[in-house]
Amino acid sequence: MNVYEYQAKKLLRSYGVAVPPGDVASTPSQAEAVARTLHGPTWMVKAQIHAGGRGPAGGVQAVHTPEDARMVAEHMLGSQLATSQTRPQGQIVHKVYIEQGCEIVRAFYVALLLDSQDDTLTYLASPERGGDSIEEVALRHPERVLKLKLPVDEEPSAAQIGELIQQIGLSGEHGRKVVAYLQTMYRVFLELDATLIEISPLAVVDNGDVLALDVKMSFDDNALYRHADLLALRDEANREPSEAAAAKHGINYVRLQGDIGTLVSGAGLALATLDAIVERGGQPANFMDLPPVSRQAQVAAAFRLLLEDNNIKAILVNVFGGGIMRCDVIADGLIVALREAGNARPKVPLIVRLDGTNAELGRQRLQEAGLGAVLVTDLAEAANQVVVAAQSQSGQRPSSSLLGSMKKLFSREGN
Amino acid sequence: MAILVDASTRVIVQGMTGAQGSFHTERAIAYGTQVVAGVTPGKGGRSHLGVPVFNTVAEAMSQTPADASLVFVPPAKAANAILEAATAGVPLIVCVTERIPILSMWVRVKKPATDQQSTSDPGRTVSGHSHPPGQCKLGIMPTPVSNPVASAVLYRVPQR
Repeated sequence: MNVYEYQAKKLLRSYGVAVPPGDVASTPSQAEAVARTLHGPTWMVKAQIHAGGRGPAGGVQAVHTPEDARMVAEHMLGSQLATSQTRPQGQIVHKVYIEQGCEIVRAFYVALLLDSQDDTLTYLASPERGGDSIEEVALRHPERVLKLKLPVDEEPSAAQIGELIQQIGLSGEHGRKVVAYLQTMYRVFLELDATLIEISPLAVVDNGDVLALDVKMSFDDNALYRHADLLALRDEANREPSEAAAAKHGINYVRLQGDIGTLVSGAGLALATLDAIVERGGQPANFMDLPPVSRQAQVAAAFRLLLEDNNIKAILVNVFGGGIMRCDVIADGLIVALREAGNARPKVPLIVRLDGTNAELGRQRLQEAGLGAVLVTDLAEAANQVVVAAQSQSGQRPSSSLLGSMKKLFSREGN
Repeated sequence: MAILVDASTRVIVQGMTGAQGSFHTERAIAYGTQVVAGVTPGKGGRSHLGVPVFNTVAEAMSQTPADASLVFVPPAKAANAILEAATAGVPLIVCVTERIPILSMWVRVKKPATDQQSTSDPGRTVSGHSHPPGQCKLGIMPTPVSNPVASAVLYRVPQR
């Protein structure tokens, strides 16, 4: 789960990390009122969305009077802000953050994250905080992104952190402040089940203060059950509606831009299924990982997502009744979803590959229900059939970009 | 990796009395696995699927020594269950539970498991190990695919 900048800053401030004075506003007049409580001569008006890259997209603007804060807020609120990290249509701005401007002397990047490559908690620090995103810096000048890997469950010492930040040019009084901030980040990370805390830029300003000018925080969805206070910060308003519906049923689902709907249980098998479709020239409409403990109602909800999607020209159900998932539960879910929709058969070709636990029973149920599903036992064959079916439905090869689909899957957006 | 389980492997199932635990334990036994005990706090003293149930792994280990534990415990309690098995000295732990909070594994399980090198495989979201034909099934692999071949890799799991 991602939170907005204003929420992340409030959290960090409560733990003692200094941020510039500011407050959130939902209307232009509130924006002006907030600006009047702060000192000039500069105010920042910052669009609150669940994505980075706001600056170059016009989502962060400096103004010089409270009236201008109102005008800029009026322009931003309700608009769709598209950045390099959002969907092409962007996210709607429901709130703006009004902040006291400051004169940056030096700016840095610091972060604490779980590195899934080697399963370690890792500090990142970089002296680069110019026009380039940290991803670009890491790509072009990997030596300018420094890492400190932490041993399991061992709080980092001030000396360790001091050594890290010295390498990005922070020492003395400023260095001591930043060491304290990074220690605080560690505490917040563990206490709140975070997966990422990023301060970028962390700035030394003209009066000598060290301030977190922008903060990004992500939390472990699987741990939210023990953080009611964080759950209250959740805002689904900007999620793709189908993704929000899927999340309600505990389904891992990402909307892509193709026309072949996929219903799969298991993230690994789901990726393999997308690969199989793409290898044959097809374009997946979604990534779906149905939890193995799904019951019939969840399977039905998952299938409904695909049935109601008008971009989908053919559907591939690929379930390996590995383990906990049973193929008969899948079959019953498909049947229930169609019955509830008042249809005897789906409007688009349905290819079903069931294997593993209770596969025979599942196939039998589908045949008896007469859905007109094409039953296959082999993934390669299933992928062939669904790609051909989608192409004959649309009458032509889909043209949407595969790269775009894949980028979406692995982008930092999402929840 | 060496062969971890075979016909002589004695198995404890944590969470055996639950719906998933029952379903897969029944199949494991039918496959030929030596399930020697189940563990469900509060249900000790009973027998389930013909197997004695204990309140704790330690109790089970002292009454019915085992080589491996198979964990079918929901996400919020799974990390503790793994830790309990590791502390009780179970040499091999297979946990099939998905969606365990990352830091629960990192802080509470990985640390003791790294210190106590007698325990192997303190992973999660794994499907398990099997030793065909019909000798030992430690996990949730469907029986029909666990047929005798020289060796096979059956799963591809994205790491996180």
